[in-house]
Amino acid sequence: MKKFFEKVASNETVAGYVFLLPNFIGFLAFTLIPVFASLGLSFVDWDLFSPPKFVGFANFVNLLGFHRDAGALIANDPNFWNYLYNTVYMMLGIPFCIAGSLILALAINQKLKGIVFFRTVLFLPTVCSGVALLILWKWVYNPDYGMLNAVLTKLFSVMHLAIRPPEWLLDPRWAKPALIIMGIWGAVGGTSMILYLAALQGVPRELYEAAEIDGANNWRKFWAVTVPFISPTTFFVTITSIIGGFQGGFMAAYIMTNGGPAGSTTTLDFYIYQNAYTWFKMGYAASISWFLFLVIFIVTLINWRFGGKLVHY
Amino acid sequence: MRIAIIASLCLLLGLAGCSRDSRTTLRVALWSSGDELQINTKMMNEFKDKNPDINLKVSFIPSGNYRDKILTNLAGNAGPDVFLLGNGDFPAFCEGKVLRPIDDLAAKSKDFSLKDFHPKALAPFQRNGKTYAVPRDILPMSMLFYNKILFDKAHVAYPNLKWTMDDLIAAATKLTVRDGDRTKIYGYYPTSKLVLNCAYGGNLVNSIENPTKSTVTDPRFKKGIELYYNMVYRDKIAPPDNDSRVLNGNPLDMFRSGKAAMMSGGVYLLTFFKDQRLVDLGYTLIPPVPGGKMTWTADSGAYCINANSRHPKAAWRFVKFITGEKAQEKMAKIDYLVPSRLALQKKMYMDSKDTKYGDRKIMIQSIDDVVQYPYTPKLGEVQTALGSEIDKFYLGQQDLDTTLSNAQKSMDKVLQRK
Repeated sequence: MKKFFEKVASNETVAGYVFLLPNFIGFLAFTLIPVFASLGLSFVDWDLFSPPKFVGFANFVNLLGFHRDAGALIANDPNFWNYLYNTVYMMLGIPFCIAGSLILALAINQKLKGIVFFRTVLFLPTVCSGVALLILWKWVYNPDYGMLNAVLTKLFSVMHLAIRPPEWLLDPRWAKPALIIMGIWGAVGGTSMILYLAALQGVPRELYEAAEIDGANNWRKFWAVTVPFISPTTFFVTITSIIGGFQGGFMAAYIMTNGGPAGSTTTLDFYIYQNAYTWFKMGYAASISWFLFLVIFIVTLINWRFGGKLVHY
Repeated sequence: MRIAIIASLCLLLGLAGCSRDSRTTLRVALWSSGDELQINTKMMNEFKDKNPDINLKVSFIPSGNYRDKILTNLAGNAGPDVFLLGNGDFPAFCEGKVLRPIDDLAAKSKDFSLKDFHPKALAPFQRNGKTYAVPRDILPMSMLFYNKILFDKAHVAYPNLKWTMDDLIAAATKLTVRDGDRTKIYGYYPTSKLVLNCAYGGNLVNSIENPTKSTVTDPRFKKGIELYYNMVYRDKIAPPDNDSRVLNGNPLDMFRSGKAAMMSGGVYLLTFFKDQRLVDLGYTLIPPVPGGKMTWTADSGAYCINANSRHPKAAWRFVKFITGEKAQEKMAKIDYLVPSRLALQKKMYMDSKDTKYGDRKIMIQSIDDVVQYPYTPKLGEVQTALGSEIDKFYLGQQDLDTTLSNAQKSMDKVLQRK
């Protein structure tokens, strides 16, 4: 027995697989198999209790189909299209997040005394517990006692403006912008900034020197040297942000708004959760997930096809 | 390196040969935290001592994701033998056929009778003449809590059992304190708006057990919606509710910090007033609308047996123990978890001293007026359908009749789906 183990242990290929095994088993059990299981689920009706019932494409028809009602064309699930709109709307924050991350990365890339402190402070939202931050923001947005409206009220009165600050999360018109602002706050100092920082530090100094000899000012250097050089990072950040955007919105809806008011902050992510774990419609939830996957896949392909051309090397 | 690999291989192989235990393994799941967790842990140990032939394995699951966890365990055929179930979740679990009726077990037990339990506590867990779980408590959502400090300051008489909803509104109007546009103190925080929506006798759906149609366009329900709307949006004597827009903190926080003079909710909320300086607490029942009769729902937890359990007898022993008189009395020592057993209700609420806040008996009296809530498996979806329409009315984007007829249509669509 001992000999067998020694023989196995001395074989490097086996050793390699053994080291891979724990991760691979985890990936298999908790990612790959569930992913394919969910594809199967999208063709059944299942409430978790009784055995799943095969329904063919019925879930997808209910989700994406339309029917005629008194001559008008009406979606089978109008909520779904509304929530898809919400999801895309919330992604309006992405350009701001990317630009913000780059600006912050440029700022903390300066060789200043105590820069480490600022780097830490800016990264803080990313390492803080998400739930705690969401509860914090819930209070910031409170129309009666919240910090934001306290500041805005003061500001408006100083400027002699007779405007009432918005009711933020109480108002369907302001709830999404409120969540976008919060998202930008959390994201600008996050991993994108770190990626940009790494990219900036990888730009060769000689290129800047060469540009200076050619008479380029800082602005020109930024556009002609920095931006092209960090374009792979921009590309990566854009793609991951868009993917994240489609999959986002669960935490905020779950903790802050419960998807309201009037469903205005329900994203597809939260709708999947509601269907699966609040309403026991596993099959329907799975079909939304797969539709979402398809959308993300196509959008990423488009990004790859056209966005890839903007990457300079 | 080599040793590490050998060790890990041995470990992998070793896991295959687990040790065997000749005792019956009984798996139990419940939600529990704080004081409740301590008492529950003690009781579990007591059960272990008394039943050496049972290997009891208990999981305390945080209440936030309790249902998800139990459900996925059951779906994976790894459900616990016995678990605690809320009355809100019961219908879905019952229709899902995962619960074992306990009538036969109860009939065979000399030391157990369903007659010892309050019928209102048992009712939520009974279907078609069968009982599927044994309740441990019943917590009516009938209480109106008030802060005497704020009442004295505004020179308003304390609420009492003779009040009607009009008295409550008049008092709340006087108690509300404004500072320009902002409300500093709200007169009333109606924790559950549904209690008010149903105050005139309306309801969400046409049947408790088998709803097929929404009844929100009924004029009685409409009046209930207006009652709530007037309080919150027209007169602004109450803050927006806690369902979809909890922005002002939860009712309890607002009430305890002196920002709401009255609050309604379940009896168990009394537990949270142990060391309060900003509140001098009093309580009574939520008053009815003039000429009406107030009804309320109740929360209740019950122990049920998994239909697939391989040890129903051992499971039953545990259920009898944990819902027994001794165990319930211990649980009820945590203030205001009203026991489901009639004898204990009498002993601890009718015959015992009043609380320092008021009359203990009215908590028990209100149990008699408890109504069942239409907790169908589709309830969540129905409520979301109603909620997203009604938000539009509250925000002034849509008139009430259009709102309710739209809501009815989308609720019916959910209810009539196979």
